Amino acid sequence: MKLAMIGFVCLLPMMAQDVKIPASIEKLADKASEVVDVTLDASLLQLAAKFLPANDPDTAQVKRLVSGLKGVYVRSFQFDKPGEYQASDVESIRSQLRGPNWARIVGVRKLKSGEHSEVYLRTEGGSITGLAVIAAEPKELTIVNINGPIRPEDLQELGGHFGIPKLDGESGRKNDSGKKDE
Amino acid sequence: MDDFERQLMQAMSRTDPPGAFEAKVLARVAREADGRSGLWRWFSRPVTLRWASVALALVMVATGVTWQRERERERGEQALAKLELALKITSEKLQKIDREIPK
Repeated sequence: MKLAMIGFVCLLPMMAQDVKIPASIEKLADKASEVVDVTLDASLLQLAAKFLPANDPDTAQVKRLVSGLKGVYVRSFQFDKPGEYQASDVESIRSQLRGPNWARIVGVRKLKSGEHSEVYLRTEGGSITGLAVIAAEPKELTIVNINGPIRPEDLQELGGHFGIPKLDGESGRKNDSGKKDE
Repeated sequence: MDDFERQLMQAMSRTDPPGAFEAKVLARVAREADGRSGLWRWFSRPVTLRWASVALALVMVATGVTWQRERERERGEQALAKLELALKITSEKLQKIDREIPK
């Protein structure tokens, strides 16, 4: 019993780790016409933050945000024709986001166009420790996983700087009302 | 004393060098010393050699540090570009999702 407890305690940090990008998703790069593959672990993020000018007010906020992050992972695939990826590929990601710390805050499904987008937040001890976005369209699939304290509002505040498009209106706000499927 | 011992003693007996031997040796030493350039002679001095080794080591360390910094700068800039792209994509997707939520 004690051994099991020790094992569980040792496994806790691993359980709080990033969402794993399955091999089936990585293999989509072979079929895609355009691929964005960003993998930035904590050490690379710290290195990137070092090269942000500290005295520039535009980038100071980015620096502050980035310094708290542990990992940024983005996979975005654009395909020439629909049907290049399977629902099971997306499900392999989605199933990882059903963990106890993750909560889906937004879900938008458009039956006509076949688009299905979801935003998940991971909370631990009352604070946000991760953000995941799944944006599935017939000819495009984007998966974002940001490990660390980041809120959609943080990105909204960064709008207009650092290559991030300026968000209009109330964009980026946290939608606690949650699952809104069309 | 047999014949062998006599021959041995004769062979081992001290003989003076030819008269010009010393002059020949000194002349050769002088010739060789003149053959070396002034720079080589300066460089061959133990003190110079020591300082040259220290200087070489310093140059090697400085080169290594510069190379390492340059490499880190390249990695940092690449990471920054990737971060910018990742945040841009995330922001665009969030914005799109937000637009699609029925108000």
